[in-house]
Amino acid sequence: MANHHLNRLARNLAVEQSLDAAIELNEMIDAKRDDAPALSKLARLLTGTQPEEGAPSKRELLSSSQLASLSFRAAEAADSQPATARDLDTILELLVRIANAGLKNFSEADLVFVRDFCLGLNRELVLEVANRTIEPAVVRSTKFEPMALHGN
Amino acid sequence: MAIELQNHTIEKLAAVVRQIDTLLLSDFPYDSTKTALEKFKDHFLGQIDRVKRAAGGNNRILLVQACMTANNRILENLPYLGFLLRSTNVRNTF
Repeated sequence: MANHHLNRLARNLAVEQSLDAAIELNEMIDAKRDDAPALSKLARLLTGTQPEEGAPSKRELLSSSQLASLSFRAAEAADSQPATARDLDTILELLVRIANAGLKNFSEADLVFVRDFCLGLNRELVLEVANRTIEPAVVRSTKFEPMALHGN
Repeated sequence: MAIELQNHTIEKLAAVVRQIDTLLLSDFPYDSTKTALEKFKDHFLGQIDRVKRAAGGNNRILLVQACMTANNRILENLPYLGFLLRSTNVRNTF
């Protein structure tokens, strides 16, 4: 897992990926399809895993405070009840399983849990994009003063 | 309520796509502007598909999230469309 793998660009990409994953999981629950490629991409993005390598352990994922915080908030937003440490543990375990082997041996309850997590994640990321501070136009508002004028 | 939300969002997205089509009729001194507009168009057409797929799932939260995402992307990307409009051929030079 690379340092800072969940940077601003990755979180921006995850907005649509989390929604696509939730749609695919919803279709799987309704027995309209039997795979979820967008979910696999999302799991690899969140865990910082390359396609040909195994996912990091849960302990390694928990060491990334950014991922742990985002996952916790997403789990909380999923059913509007306060999330617990157990929810975070469950979702990280499921993410590692998905990144390693896809959706093999997933029960319907697991699918519903991951779908709700994806919806919570989408909500958190959309709010983050909506509240993002616009970079100030420093160059326009600041009078240009060459260093030479300061006598340096 | 959910159907209204879906229809309004799809109409807004369709209006953005029509606006991009109008912009694409302009003369551009560099191809990169046209390429950027085509990418924006693909992005918003993808959002329309996403909202329609979410609506077919009989899950209200899913539809609300899809509409929220689409509206957010419109809000976020409109200034960039304005920026691209300013990179058409030089006008009002006199």
